[in-house]
Amino acid sequence: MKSAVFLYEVKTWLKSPMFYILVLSFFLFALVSMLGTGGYFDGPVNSGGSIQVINSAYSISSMGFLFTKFMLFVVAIFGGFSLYKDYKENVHALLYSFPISKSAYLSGKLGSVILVLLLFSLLTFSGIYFGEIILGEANPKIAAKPISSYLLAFGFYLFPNLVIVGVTVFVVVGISRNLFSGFIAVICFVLFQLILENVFFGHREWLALLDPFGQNAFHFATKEWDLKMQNSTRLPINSLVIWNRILWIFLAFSAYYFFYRKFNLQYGPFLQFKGATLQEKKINIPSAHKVLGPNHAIRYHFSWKARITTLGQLIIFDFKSIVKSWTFLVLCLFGGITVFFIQLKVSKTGEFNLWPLTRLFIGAPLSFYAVIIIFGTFLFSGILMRRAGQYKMNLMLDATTITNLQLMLSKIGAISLLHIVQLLLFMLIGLAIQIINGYHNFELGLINFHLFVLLFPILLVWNITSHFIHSLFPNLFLGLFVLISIWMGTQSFEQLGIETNILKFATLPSLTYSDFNGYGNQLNGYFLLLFYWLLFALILVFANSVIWLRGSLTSIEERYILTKSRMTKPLSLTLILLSVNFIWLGFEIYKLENFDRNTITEKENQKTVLTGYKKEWGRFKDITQPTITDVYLHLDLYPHENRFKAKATYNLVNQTNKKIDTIFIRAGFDEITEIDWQGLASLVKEDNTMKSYLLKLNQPLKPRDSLEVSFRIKNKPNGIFTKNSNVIENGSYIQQDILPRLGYQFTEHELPLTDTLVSSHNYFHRDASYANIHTLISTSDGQIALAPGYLISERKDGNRSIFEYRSPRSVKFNFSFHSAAYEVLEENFGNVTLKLYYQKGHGFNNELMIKGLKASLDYNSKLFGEYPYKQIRIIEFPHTEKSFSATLKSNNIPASEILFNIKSEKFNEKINLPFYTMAHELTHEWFGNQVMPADAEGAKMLTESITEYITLRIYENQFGEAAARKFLNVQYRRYKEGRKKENREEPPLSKVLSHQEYIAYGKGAIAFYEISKSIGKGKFESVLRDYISKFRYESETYPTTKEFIELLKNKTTKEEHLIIENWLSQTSAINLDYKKTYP
Amino acid sequence: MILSLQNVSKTYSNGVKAMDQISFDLSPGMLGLLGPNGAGKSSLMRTIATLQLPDSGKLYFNDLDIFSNKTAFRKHLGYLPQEFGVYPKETAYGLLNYFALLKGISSKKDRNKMVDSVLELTNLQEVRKKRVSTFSGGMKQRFGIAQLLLNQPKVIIVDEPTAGLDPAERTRFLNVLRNIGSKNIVLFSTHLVEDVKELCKDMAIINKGKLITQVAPSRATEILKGKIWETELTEKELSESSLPLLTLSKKYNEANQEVSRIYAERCPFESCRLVSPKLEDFYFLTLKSG
Repeated sequence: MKSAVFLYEVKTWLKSPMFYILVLSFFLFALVSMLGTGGYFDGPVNSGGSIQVINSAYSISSMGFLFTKFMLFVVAIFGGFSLYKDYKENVHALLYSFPISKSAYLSGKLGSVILVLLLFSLLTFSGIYFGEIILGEANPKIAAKPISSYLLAFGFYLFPNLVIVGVTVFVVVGISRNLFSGFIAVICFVLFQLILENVFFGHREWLALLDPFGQNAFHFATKEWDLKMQNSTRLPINSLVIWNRILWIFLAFSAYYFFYRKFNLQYGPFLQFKGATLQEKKINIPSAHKVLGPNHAIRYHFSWKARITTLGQLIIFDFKSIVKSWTFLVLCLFGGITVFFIQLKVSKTGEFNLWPLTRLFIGAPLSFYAVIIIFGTFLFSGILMRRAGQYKMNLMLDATTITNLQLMLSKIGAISLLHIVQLLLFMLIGLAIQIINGYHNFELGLINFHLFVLLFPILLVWNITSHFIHSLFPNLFLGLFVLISIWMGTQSFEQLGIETNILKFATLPSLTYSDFNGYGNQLNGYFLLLFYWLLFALILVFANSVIWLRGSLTSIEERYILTKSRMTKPLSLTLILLSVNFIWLGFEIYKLENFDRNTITEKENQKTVLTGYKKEWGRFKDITQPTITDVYLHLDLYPHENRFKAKATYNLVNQTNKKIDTIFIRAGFDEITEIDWQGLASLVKEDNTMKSYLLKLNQPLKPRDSLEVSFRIKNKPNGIFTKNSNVIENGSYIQQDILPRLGYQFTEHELPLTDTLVSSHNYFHRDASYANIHTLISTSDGQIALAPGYLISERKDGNRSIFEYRSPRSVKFNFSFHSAAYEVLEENFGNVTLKLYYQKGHGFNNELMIKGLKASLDYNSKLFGEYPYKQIRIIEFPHTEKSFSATLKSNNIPASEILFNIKSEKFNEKINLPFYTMAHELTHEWFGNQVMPADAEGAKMLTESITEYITLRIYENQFGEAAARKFLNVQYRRYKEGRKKENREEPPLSKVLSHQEYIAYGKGAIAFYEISKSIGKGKFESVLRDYISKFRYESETYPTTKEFIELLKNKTTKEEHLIIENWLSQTSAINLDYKKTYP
Repeated sequence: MILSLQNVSKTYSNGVKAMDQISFDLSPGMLGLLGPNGAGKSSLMRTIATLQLPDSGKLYFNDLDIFSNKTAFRKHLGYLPQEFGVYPKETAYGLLNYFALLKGISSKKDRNKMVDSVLELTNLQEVRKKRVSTFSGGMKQRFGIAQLLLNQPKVIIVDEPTAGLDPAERTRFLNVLRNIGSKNIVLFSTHLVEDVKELCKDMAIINKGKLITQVAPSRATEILKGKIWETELTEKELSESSLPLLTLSKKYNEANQEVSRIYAERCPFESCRLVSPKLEDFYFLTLKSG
């Protein structure tokens, strides 16, 4: 009998078309994913030597974890349906009276579930293997690997995970006799993993042990792996991995065991709380006179108004039915806890903590939460749509005067109310976190706007779609499957190379918010797309009222006839009209998206254009060019129109001893630049895509002669989806890249130290070393405009504010221009004025930043010479304009909004970033500005490593030795993490390349610290002083690491040379136990 | 007031002919619809209840074409399906309120009043605050009638409502039905001939999708007067009769002898006893004589 139940169940699945639809879909999904990752569709991408092999044990396991998540939906079906179908069809009433034992019944069922899961997952996983075979070993991402990596990933993680979840679903559905609870259980598993990851954030071992999917055990076992190991090492199976697997399999089967113990082959529910059927106390025989006469007092209303009132009440009825269900409560509970942790964590990075700002909550945490809401929508709309049928009330309801539209809208409305509840929950959690953290700037307007104006409508689109799909497919699984496929499709469009928004179903571009500029100009495009999808949703509403299931239908033909009978002329006309409008709008959006497509956007195209350009223009890479010595810039910013126009005049000097007759100009890529060359030169060659122009001078420029050339510059027009200008309503941050440059820009960068020409160019610019800059900058009234140098004058002209700045001496060709309605803080340090320009309400770290500047000024000017300017400005810019950073540009330090939002109370645990950043940036005045390194490998050692070392010393002076150790520990981690991602040979510090920040910063700081410890801090500082004095403002022969090491060796002994060599000229000097030295 | 079916036919996709050119007219009063299982009773009722489209044929309520004006007809329709359930956790009062809403009583006051009155009529006042899912079979059926009455229907369709009820419940249920039946068109399907006898002024018998006869129950027994006999003779013995006769039903007497009820124009054998005809005899006769 045991095998009878088992065999029957397995046969039922194998005969079900659903099984094959699922297997085929997942097989294809796995296959296409593998092929896509392997570059089958767009050619293998050569990512500069660091290739992740995709059929390594590591990659296969990682892919397995991803697939597990996708497959969970199927687990909910397989795990739950086996028992549920008996309850659904009332078969259990009959079946339980048969002479079968509960062990035969339950174990037969569970056995069949496990077997079916095995078949399903094997077939799905084979999709990956087939992908590997199709890609072939010639593919750079495929390495010859034994099939055992598949078997281990499958046998250790993927299949056990499916069994663990499958058994749990089996038990949950068995207890609740409700299929949906299986889906909720699956969602809870995923959320549980997320909760664990947040709770045990700092306790990786516990996380590794407790993770239900074993994913964190895997990560823990491979946390030290670099790319090379990831590509070649076998799957690690350590004791933690084994214990994790044992724990969860034990838990799942324990749950089954308890279920089994309590389970009875009984008709009634598993858990009986209430008494049995109600009995009437007395029997009334109704008297004959109780005849129902027409009751004219009761009014029946069928007007539009009445129908709307009725709809409102139906919405409440349906809403209550969901809200009161434990499925919803469980989802809210798990979703709420998860999002609590995610919101809590979003303000915490490894390096620093931010204030719990509203804008952080509406970023990633809300996107994640929206996914929970959308999946909940799929489920709950399915529940609502099938509820009447499930409880066999449909025929009674369908025979009433309620319209299809009312029935449908009541369900859509109920889910919308549900969304409101869920969004309010999100808001409350956020507020709670803000209160806990002592942050009282509750931006209720912002969060409400984001939740209910920006997000809610798109949830409505999903809501309506979900009802439509459930209506179209009476089979719940098919409906859910289609919905999840649609959702997954929207997530993978980009991978398939589809960029247009008109195909990404109900998925809008993510918005960024800054306190400076709000959402900026993103909202117009957002609302346009929102309108587009709402229009589509409206079509679905009408379509759904046509296909709405009502009454008793037994065949597709009947459904077709019913649908056809509902297609009245006005309805067809409305549908056609709406569809035409939708398509037209889509077309218009597509045009708007592509309005400046003449610029190169697609990767493939970019490559071709660049190759062609290099071939054509590379010939001119060695032509002698004059140097820019003076810049006069008249820059008009129009913040409210997001545009600027400018006139730039350069003074060019021939600093060579050859005549110059040709000028090679490359204008800003996102700007429209006109060159005033009339009477000066003639155009010989131009490339308007790459903005390159070759001008032949009418009179060649003799050595030491100079020439003035002017440009008119404006930004390319902005589109609704394209931003071509950095001028924003508040917080514009413009850099020197709007200005034209001289010469070919694609020359080899960072030459080897052995190259003979290595010292003739600086690391930053070919066409300028130091230049004077004089700026007349105007902006709209109420904003302060900033430019390099000192403020000379300030005036108003109508509604324009005009500022004039001039650099007191020539500065590095590295400028920033700003405009915003700033608050200003001013302090003096010696004869230097320190000014801090910041957004109102962002003053948390002002004091620390100023402190950082002062400490840096003090330390550096004492050791390396006076600070050359009388003014230093820290200028906050919106985090939306550039990723987190601060940088030194002449006497300006533009710094990201993020730095201003750092929560500074627990600095004993973290690096005091506001202080550190300012100290670091100002140090670059000496190491980076006054001395520019040559454009050679190792340049970053001369800028960043030295600066990082000095910052460490400043930090140590300020906060003491323990803090300095922490600082070194951060650098050590940075080095270690960075090294993991390195796939090439790691170069020594003296040959570091610009992208290898883990060496330049991480190892650099440690190396110099260790050297200074060995040779003495004073001696090391004197070397730095020698270096500065030797190369200060040098603009013909720039220093390389070779010169620096020579200076260092000149002052040290032979024994000390070994140490220096070891740290600077050899690859690895840090052993991985360094953490012990600097805990 | 008249409900009229004209040549209504329906064949399911599995080839079963559920309705075959059914035509009849219904006027106020109760019509009992009799027929064996699978005769097409439920299909017919679902069709009248606008829940199923026929392949061909027309349905009119007075002059209203039902299938072109479903909503208009549903205002006058009360329907109780053969098998129905209720949402769990809902009280009788709450659920009836919900139905009242669906039936167009948008004022809360009116709804409460109407719900109260149907609860009263169906004797469910005492349990109005109890969950319907805990009701006994008879209470649940009365609840079904209560929901049906909310829109004061002129056409009431009840599909085998007495199946599975105990005798007391059945009596109570039929009383409720009787009270609402006199002024409205009530179509009431059953396979218990007794129900029809007790309640209906008219009855129709369908089999294999065909309407075989439509007759008043009193008239039906009238026709058979003097033609129904009881006998202990076996089938074999009966078959030797020179007169045409038809065995309608069989039962056992106290001596455990098989007693057959037969239809014959005259006494076929001397041992046959003339008995007074029952409605059941008419039913069987109709079915057997096709």
